Amino acid sequence: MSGRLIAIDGTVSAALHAAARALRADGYKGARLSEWDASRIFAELAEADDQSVPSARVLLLLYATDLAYRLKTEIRPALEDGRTVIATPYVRTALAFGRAAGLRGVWLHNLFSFAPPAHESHSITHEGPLAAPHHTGFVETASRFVGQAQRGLSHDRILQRTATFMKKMRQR
Amino acid sequence: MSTARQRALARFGVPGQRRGRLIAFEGPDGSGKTTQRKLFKKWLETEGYDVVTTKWNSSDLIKPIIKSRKAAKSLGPEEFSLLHAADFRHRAEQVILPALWSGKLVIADRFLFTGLARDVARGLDLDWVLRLYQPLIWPDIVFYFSVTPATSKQRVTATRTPGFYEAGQDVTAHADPVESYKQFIERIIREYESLALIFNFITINAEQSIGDQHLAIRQLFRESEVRPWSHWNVDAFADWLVSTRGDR
Repeated sequence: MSGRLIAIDGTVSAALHAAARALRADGYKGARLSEWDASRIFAELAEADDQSVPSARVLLLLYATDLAYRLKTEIRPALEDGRTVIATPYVRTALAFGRAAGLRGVWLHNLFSFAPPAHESHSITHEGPLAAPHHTGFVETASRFVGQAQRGLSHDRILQRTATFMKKMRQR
Repeated sequence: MSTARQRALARFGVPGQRRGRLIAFEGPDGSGKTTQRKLFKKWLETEGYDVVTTKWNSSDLIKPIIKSRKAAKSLGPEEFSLLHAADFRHRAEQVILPALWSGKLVIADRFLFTGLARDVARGLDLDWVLRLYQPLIWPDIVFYFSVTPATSKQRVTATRTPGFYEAGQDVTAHADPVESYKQFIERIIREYESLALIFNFITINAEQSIGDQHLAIRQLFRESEVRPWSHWNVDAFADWLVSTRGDR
């Protein structure tokens, strides 16, 4: 594949959108944008009649399904055409969320081992409120579910923990 | 040791303590396992067991997502695998583990081995797929209903045309679903037979009469010993207690 894959990860979807737009305006004009829930799995989940609450592990399996769809339909075809792809979010967001929910790193790394490494990675940390009111991305959506389901983890707590894991990953 | 693990160990790790039981029925399409599962359930209920049944790809939350994508024939092998693992995990957390925690007997009409056999037949790596299902839950007994590819094909196609994914048309690229099924079921049965050896399934000759199979299953169940659960299952319960507040 001759193209270039740029990953933008972070907890606040509005900040991810802004970072992707800034990159496109600044040297990556014509880059293909690949965004969360292109497969609409999470949109369908939100409209489901069933009221049972999915756990963090189930949500990450669904995130991985969506990413497999994005790789198949958006990312790989564009890379094969020699284009730049900006993937937002990519793998690190999911790894940080999983670690924040208490899942083992070895399980998370196996889960996402089908995804090729990005040529360039950006982690967007955000100093404002951790949940933007009008933008809902994976971390905001999944934190709401996990805040309902998981012992000792409120919505705000899991957002904070995910942001902390993102920072730790960036420092490595 | 975490508190959740201690609680799981206290409930299930002690020899002789009453606990739920998990019996899995596995085998290719057309092997008659659903007929046997129904007969077995009726018999268990007459014996006084409190029985819960769970079927493959049946969670109310995930099943509609899988169904719409199967209808659109849009799933690649990884998506197919991951969605079924999500469905399994959600059923494990919502149905299987709660029932076992409260001492019930769970019959699984297909278990994670179905995912392994089908996904590996689609070309995915066994180790990657197996790890998707962690923390693993090991059944007390896995009954494997063994038939030849020819019998499976004959029984399935006698009444219907196999569906696109059932026939493996996503990977064989055969336009004819029956021809595709013939090729794909050979791969699936090969994978099942490897899994039967690796994981110590009890093989039932599903070419026998329905009555003979049912009597064999009763006998094997009666003779089976209830051993303390493995550390795998203790880990699975500990994970469930934390991630879903399962014992609320």
